[in-house]
Amino acid sequence: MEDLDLQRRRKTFADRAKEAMNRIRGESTVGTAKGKEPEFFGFDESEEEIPEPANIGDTAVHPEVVQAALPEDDTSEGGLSGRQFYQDLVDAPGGAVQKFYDEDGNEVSPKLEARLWEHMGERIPGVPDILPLSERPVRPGAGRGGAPGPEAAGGTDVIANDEDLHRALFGDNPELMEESELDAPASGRHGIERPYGPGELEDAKANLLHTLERVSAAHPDMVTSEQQTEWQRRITEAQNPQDIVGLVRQMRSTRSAAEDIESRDLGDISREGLARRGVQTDEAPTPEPPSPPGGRPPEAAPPPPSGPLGGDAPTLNAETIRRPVIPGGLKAEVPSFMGGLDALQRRAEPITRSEVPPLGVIFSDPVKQMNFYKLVDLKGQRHLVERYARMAAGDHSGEAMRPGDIETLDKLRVEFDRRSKFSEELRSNLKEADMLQILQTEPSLKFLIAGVGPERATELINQHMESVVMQLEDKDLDTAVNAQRALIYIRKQPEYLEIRDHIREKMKNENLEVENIKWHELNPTLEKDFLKGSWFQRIKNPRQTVAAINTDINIIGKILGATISFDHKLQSDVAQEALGDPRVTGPTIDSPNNAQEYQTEREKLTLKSLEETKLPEFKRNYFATYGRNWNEDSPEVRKKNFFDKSIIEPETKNRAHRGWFGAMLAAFMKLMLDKAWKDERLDSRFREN
Amino acid sequence: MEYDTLLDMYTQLAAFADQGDEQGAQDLLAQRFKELPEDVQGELAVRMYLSAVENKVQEEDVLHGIQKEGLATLEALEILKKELEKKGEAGGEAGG
Repeated sequence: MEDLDLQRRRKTFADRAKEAMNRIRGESTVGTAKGKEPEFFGFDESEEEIPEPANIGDTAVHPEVVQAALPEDDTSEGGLSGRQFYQDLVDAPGGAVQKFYDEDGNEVSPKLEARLWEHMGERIPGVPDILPLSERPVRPGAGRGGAPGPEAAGGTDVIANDEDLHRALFGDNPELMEESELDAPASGRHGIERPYGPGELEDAKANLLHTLERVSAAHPDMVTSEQQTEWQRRITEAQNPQDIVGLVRQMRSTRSAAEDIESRDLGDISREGLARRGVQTDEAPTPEPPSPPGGRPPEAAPPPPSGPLGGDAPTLNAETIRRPVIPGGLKAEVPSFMGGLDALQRRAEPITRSEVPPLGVIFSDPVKQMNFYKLVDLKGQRHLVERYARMAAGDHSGEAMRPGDIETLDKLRVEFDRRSKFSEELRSNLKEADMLQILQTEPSLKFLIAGVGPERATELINQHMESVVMQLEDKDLDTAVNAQRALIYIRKQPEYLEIRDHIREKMKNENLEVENIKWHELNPTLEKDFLKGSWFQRIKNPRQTVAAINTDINIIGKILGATISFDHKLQSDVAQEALGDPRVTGPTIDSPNNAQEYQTEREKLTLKSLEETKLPEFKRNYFATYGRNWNEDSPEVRKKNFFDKSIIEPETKNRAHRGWFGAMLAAFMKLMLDKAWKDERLDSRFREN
Repeated sequence: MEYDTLLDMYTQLAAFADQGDEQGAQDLLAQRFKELPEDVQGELAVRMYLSAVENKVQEEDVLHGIQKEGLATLEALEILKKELEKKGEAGGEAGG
């Protein structure tokens, strides 16, 4: 079935490639066809179905590189015989781009590329195997080869100026660039007003018209037929390259406006949607379908050919990675006197895609690699990293990467960078006095200070912050970042300081000393009455004697004094008492979210690792629920029952009202499950070998 | 054996939690923390730190509410006390 499907897909792609060639022949009447299928607004979603070559080649390239086609590279029209071609996967924003190069390392023409794609997945008679570009012998002055950096390749995903735009539109021929320097116009626009040959101008016009046609067909909601006609007229009437440049800019600005709307559609995680937006959204990455046993034969699709517009590269300069403000987050917890949530809800500076480190950089740093792996794992895409690493190592024995895989990794790469910035913020804020105070005074952290001391504790937190940040669910990360921001913000508010001064003054009037306050010293019942929201009831029905009122004033004074006490345990006790749930602090394992997460964690494990987990409580609950021991049931029943909520619930219920215990136990549980998972993976690999 | 250490500590902590023995748990963690591999130590430290910060913010909010309400009540009681004193009923029943 799969073979048949592959054949069908190959046929589909071959037909499409021919059609593209015919279109180029028909539209680009003069000059060489530098443009293949310019990607302007996004990919054609249907292309996602197209199979990918088996040997995807070495990927040790800088993903940000988007190499524009060179004009005079491949004059051998259709002549494949005896030639050595190279391939490379260029990781461009919005998706990977598969490219072919000739013996000189120059990108082949669209026609030649189409021919190569026609044969993809099979040997081409008379043509040596297509090799990874990195295996091409590098000669001075030749085109791309090995693993050039963005500068070396002359490519970038940023169109920062006219020169870049010129390059994106017309290619990057050193001779032309040199010539354009000689002819640089007085306007200072490097090369733009150089008298290009008619073929080059017509070529650019043809490319733009073709882009317009594709975009209009794919996105009738974004480009109406009237608009299309108008754009066509303007393009056709363009007299010089500068006109084309202007039109491209106008089209880009139209696109940006459309994206503003599009980017709100977080549900669209299709290749088209991602490419169109070119932005990181909050939704989970596209889930990967499970692989059949034994791996899948290579069948993935080639990315859509890119043209002079360099895929979507030129359009990403001004785009930022938009992210909505904290969803929910700390709303309930943020103090009302903080002057509004807006200040806190401003997330880190928007990230431009060009700021994000390429995958190659991430994978060359062991720490980044490990942390990236954790993020990928969190998002349920760990298999992609394995495939990527294998591919990058030149091992093509396993399952091949597909364009969607690289796209997902690219999306995660952006998320990785975003999280790295939050991690840096959390670490940086750790230096704040308030944070150090928490470290040294919070009851839940006493063990840390007692166990390793404050300096080592700070060091540990700094060293491992990024690792944890990469493992936190989005909402937990939001909460963590904002909690820290909120605390720092609160402590600096005038109201925070003024109210404390006011209390101190009151206590002085009542001859009370903050340092001497002892919780429950006076009248616990009465104190609780006050704290449980009956303050004003007390005023409505006051005890009608001065002595009784004096007692109340004394109690309230002590409670207020406790709120500004240097005894942080005392402060915490008052707060917890007021919350009505003494000693319940932080996330507890019995909360719905944690229970759900707990179950999710469990569901990640196989029966084998479940058995190895051997949690005594689980087994007790199992017996209590089913009246049998865990080991007495068949594996099928055990697996089914393991995910039975009734097993989890008693366990989580028992975790209620335990203050920081809940957080600690949850952390331990997470680490144990991680460990069980790792062991299982290692064991599995061992068995495979 | 990292896993065994984790399981052992988890079991002991759960027992302390069952008994509500906070001090016992603190002592156990302080004594055995260094037995854990460094990455586990780091992860625990970060997670507990973030949890403590979250908790602290929540407490600050509650404390601020107590302060605002407490000060208002305090002032109201002081006015009431002055009125009672003015009526010359200090130390006696206000009646009604």
